Amino acid sequence: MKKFIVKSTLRAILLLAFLYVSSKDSYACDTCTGHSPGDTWCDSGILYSCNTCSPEACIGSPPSRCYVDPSQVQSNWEDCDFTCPADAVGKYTKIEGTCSCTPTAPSIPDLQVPDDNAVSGPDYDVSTSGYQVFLDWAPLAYWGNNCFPGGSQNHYYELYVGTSPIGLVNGLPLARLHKTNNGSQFSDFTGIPGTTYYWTVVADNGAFESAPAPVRSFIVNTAPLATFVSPSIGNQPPYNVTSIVAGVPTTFSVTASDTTNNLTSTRILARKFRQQGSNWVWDMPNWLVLGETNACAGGSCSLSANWSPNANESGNWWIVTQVTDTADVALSPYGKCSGDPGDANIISPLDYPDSPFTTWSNCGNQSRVRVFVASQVTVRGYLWNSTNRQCSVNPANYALNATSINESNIFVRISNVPEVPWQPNATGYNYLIQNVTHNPASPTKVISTSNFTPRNLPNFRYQLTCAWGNNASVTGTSVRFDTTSTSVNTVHLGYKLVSTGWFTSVNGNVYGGYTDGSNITPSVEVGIPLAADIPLFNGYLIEGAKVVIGNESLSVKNPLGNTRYSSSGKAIKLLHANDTWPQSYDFIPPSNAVSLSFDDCAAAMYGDYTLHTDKVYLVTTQCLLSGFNTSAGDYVVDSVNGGRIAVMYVRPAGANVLRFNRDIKSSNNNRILFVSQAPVEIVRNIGVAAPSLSTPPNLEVSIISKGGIRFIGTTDSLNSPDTSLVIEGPLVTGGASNATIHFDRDRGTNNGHPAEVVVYNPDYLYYLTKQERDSTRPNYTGLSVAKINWEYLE
Amino acid sequence: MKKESGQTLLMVVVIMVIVLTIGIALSWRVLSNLSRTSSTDTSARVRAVAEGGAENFLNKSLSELQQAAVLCDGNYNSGVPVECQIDFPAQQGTDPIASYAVVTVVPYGAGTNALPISSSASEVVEVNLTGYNGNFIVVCWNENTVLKYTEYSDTDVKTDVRKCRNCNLALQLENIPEAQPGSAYGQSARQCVRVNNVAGNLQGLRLTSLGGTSNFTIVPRNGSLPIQGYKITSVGQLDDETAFQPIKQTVVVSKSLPYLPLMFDFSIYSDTGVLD
Repeated sequence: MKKFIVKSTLRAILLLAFLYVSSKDSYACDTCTGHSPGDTWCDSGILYSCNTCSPEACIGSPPSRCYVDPSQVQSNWEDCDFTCPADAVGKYTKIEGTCSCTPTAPSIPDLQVPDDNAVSGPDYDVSTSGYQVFLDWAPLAYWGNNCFPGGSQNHYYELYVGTSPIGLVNGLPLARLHKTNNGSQFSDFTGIPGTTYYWTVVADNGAFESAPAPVRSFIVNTAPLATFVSPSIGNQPPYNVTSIVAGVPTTFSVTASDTTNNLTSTRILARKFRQQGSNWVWDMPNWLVLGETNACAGGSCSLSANWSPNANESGNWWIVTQVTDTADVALSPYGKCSGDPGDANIISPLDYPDSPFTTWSNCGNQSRVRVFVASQVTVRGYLWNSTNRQCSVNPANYALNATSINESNIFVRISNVPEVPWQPNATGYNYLIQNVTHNPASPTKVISTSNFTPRNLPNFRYQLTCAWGNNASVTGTSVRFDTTSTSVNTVHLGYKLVSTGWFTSVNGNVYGGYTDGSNITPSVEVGIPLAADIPLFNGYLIEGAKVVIGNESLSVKNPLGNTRYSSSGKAIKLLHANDTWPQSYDFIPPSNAVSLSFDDCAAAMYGDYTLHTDKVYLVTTQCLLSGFNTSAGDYVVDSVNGGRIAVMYVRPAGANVLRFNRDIKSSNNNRILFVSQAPVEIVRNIGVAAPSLSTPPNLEVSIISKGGIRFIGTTDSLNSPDTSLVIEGPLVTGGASNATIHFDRDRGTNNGHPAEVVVYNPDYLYYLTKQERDSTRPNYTGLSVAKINWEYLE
Repeated sequence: MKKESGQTLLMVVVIMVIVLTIGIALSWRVLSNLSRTSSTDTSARVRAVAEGGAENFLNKSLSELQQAAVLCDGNYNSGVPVECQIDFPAQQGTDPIASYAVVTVVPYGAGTNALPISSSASEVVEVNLTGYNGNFIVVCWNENTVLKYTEYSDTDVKTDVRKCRNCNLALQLENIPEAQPGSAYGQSARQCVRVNNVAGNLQGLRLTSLGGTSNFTIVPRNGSLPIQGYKITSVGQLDDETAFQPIKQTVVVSKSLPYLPLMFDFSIYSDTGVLD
């Protein structure tokens, strides 16, 4: 009951309150029910405004609310009692007031493609022929608040691209490349291959820009390159490899490279072509893959492929390289390369429409080679003796055999083919070389042999003079010929016996004094060429009806074995004389000899000091050499009492050798006779090219030497042959054991000319005798002798 | 017993006679040898003196010999010219006796007579032909040798070789003809060679015997040979006026005119070595 009373009481209170309020509203038109004039408020979704109310202004029946001025209701206002959303505070205006609106920035964009540090650029835009790099970022999740009605209309992405990162390189900002409110990608960027670009995206909501996305970089892809490292090719077109041989493996090796370090594969391809009329056309429908690797990575990749073409594959081939990298896209040439067809110097096959190069970039000039696959033939023939024979004779009748030569073997070689020993006992040939390539485009081969010398003819050598074969000709020590397609090519090589260099005496006797008692070792040994090979002499040791004398045997023969002493053929052998050298010839100058000063001695050699025939002089090797080196002037010998010979004793001092290194000429008909204790040498650089019987001597002197005389000769007669030296005689050695005269000059292939010509000058005999007999001094030259007989009478 | 004593005495006497005889003989032999030794020693000394005199003239030049041939012609009736006598004074302590040589110098070889001249093996000898006006010269010899001969002038030189006739030689020859028989030139020699004069002013004919010694005879034809040399006769003796019969020794030396040795006949000549 009590509860009931309480509840009833509370209800009554509430009812009274309600009634109070209700009576108040109905009345509060003037008071705006507690609102002050000017206030607006919502009540149950209705907008109220408390104006300066007057009763008549009250509306409603009963008038309960103030008048609401419709002009106060903005069309875009939210509904009465609109609650400003938490995430867009201030964005809205509502009737009862304005949301509190503070603009906010968009979130930071998220870059998607390409990856940071990526190699990019696979897209190929034919219209621009450049790299199209696709840039993509994620649609922005939060644009912030620009406090603009309909604010999304001001949402933009700004794309920045440059070659330097922001703030990293000289503080330069990236340049804004693009601004869009349409999508989150950009596909029109054209980069330079190999260049590193930095990029970022900024979101802009019209009020604020976002912070830039973390800067990424990418490298615009470069196409690979390739170079053949084997076989070797030149740096310039046409990049031919001479030939490879069918059946013989050939290694083709290439090295691919890519500056963007993203190689993926390398291939070596081959394709045969042929000439058709004036054009070249492919001779096979497809490219033959010689080698391939898909294991390439990074910036370098090597590939080797062995190719052993079949015999039926002989002909012209192009060998090319193809390389791809990670940017390989079907229609783009920038991620792959191939042998370059674009060189104007390259023949047309690579311009053929079927070539694989139309969508490939150029791997470089070294990325392809043109080869000829040659077939192999056998070359055989005779090495034969063509001495004194026409080259047209049947070589089989004059084939060299084992007894023809000193050597145990002869090796025959053709360029690029291993040499083989000859086969002197074979039938139909005496050499045979197999597996010789035949290349119709370059059929010329060079065949040669190892050195071999004739047996028992020490002063001769074999000189290649005849060549028989297809377009065969002799070139030095080898034969050039053209191979033919026949399986066996025949080439004969004819060798003529020629002198190794010979000397001749003009109008003077010759004496060789060597004695070893063997009756075998020749005292005079010289090989005289065949007369037909000698242009200006008659082919004798002695020109003139003189005599040759040997203390032992003589070997003065032409290659046919005929002796060639002189036109009279007179010779004396096995003389075995032991005492032909006068005891008084001891090379000690006579007491009356005038010792010349160094300067006078030197000057005498070029005419600045005059010698006289009634005097004998003593000089040194050193001062003579100084004179030879100072001037090439002629020496002067003045005649006294009709004499014409000045005698000059030479002793070694300062130089061990009396070396004549230039022409020594007399200014008149008078002469010098050198009596030298020192060995004598005549250097190579004096001489004439084509001496004759009347050629003036290079050395207008006579020499008597104790230590021997040597005509220095070449060590390479083929490439550096000597000239001919003409000197006056008597040319004498003696007074010591084994005092020899070595005629070492060699005219090489011009050995038809004598290498040394000794012209006997009888003036030395006549005038020295006369001078001795006219002199008031007994034996003033030290060179005369007399026959003295003693008789004792009892 | 008495008889036996007499025999003993006889034997003693006989032995003594024999011993005495032997002693006298030995003494005589010693005295004889002493005399002979003294004579031989003196002879050797004067021979040396003669040789010294000759050698003194051998060392003279040709022009000096030509002068000596005028002064020392051997006509010494009015005394020996000092130029023709070579004195060897006494040497105090070693040779107390002075000596001297009287020298005569005479040219030889000139004229139309045949000139003998010898050549040992491989030795060249020279016949002076300066001024020779003959048609040619014949050289004859008898030995089994080969003759190489060279005639020369101021403008020409000619060499040839001939071998002995019908002879065997140790050395080997190629294309060397035999010499002519001596009879071909009216000579008794086994073989001869005719040497035709070369052009120009003749100076000499040089002969070399190959294969052994040759004794050549040079026969001028229709001309006279010039002087070939000088014969030096030197007589040596002691300067001892008291000597009853002074010992003399005579040396005769012939010296040819100077000439050049063998190698000057050759344009190329190696005495001991090879030519190659």
